[in-house]
Amino acid sequence: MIKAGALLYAMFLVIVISIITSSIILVNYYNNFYVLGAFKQDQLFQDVYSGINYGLVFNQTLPLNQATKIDLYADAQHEVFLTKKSWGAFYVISSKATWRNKNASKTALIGANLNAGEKTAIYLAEQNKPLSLTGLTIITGDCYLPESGVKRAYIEGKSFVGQRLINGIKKNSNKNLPSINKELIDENYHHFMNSNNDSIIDYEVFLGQDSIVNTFDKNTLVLYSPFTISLANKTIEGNVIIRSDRNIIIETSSNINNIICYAKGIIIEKNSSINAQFFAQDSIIVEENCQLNYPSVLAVLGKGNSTTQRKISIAENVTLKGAVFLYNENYDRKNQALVSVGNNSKIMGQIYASEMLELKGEVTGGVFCNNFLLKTPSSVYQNHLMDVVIDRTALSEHFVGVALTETIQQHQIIKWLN
Amino acid sequence: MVKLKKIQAFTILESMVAMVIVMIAFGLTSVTLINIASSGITKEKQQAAALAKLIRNETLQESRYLDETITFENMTIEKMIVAHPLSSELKILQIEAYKDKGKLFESKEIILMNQEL
Repeated sequence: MIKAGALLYAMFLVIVISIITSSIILVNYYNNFYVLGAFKQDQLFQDVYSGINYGLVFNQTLPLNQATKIDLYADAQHEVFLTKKSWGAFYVISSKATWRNKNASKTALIGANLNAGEKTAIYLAEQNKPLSLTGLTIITGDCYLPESGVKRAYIEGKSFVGQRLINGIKKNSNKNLPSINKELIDENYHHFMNSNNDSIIDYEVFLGQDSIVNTFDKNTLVLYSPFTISLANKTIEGNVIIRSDRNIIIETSSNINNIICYAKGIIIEKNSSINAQFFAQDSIIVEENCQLNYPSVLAVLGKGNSTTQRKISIAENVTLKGAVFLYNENYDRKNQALVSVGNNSKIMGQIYASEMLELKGEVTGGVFCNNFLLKTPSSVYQNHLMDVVIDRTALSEHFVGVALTETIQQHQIIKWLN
Repeated sequence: MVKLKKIQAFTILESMVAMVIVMIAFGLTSVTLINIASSGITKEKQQAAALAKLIRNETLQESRYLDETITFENMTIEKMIVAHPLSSELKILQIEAYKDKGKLFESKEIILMNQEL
């Protein structure tokens, strides 16, 4: 019979060895798990960025407000969910990727690549009247002008003092402006009436709240009031739409960022410094010394007949980076829609006026209008520009604007929203 | 005189059986450890991943969209810019790390030409 004394020692050793071995295996497992997790997280972020790039190119084919599953390399290993939604004059694209309990997401505000097509400084529709320039007017860039061309004028004791009338190529314009992007108009016009898929809350509920912040991974928060809304001493930021059946007044004390306002009329009080998109049915008034940071939009979308003049009025010393556009569906000779830009105001981006444009400031970008209007103390002139600077070449190549005309199809990132 | 405690001795057979058990335990342990060390994420794989990430960042920052082969110590990193099957505006940035013809790491990313992320 074999005595079991040594076996006991052996078993003891085996247990000790197994404990050490399992500890090593466990440490190794957790190390692998951690490193694999880090690898996967990196890969998820790369897939998310890839998804955004894919979305930029195939923006037109992505459905609105609906997550679309994209297999990036057709290998079922790299799948992302892309969601596109309209955000005023721009789009918001979200890309999400998941693996087990890990996930990554990025959201970007995207706009139109203005450098993809023609770089037009002025598009003045053919109304059988030449463009007349006076004072220190400098126009740089290619221009679409009436066949009668461009000439010098002498108004209010001022004559044209520049060296060349136009520093660029002159082309003949058509009777109508390049047609405005109908999708852009329709998508925003329906927001005046209702907002689908959004959380609509009565603005009264938030009256006592100083700050309202809503991120873009949540449903859009729509603050609605049938009465005039006055924003004072409030910080409102992110995925928020403010809608009123009457007017919205932005007071100087309000701090708003990335939001959209829809109303019949909008007033931005003097000295305001904001970044938002404003859509009105009748008028937008921007008072003196306001700063509308990139990317801001002022738009009047006029459908049907109106008894009052539809207008966007920008006072003196206003800086706006983004786009200004006025679309009036029905032409009314007595109440012609007007975009006016005051003295010393600087617009960086695009101006599109489906009817009249009264321009006194400086534009770094392009101007599209049916006719120019110049008011002096003694008279009113058509298709005249006095002391105006329009420079299309000075607009940065990185400037991303609004797809105002249907010809612009390429999209680029304006900014990351998360 | 101090009387020593009497310890019972093992028989050769006892000792042999115990030794065999311990040897088997050691053998299994080493096999398991070797398997774990070779099949898991090795230091080399981590190094390959770090290098691939570095090359990816450099490529995007400097817009260096060229096919390149970079050798680092015993590792070879191959960077390829592949055409996207659906769009000419998109390219696929593919980075693969090899050692002794064995693939250590691979990453893919869709890039939009002339746009930095």
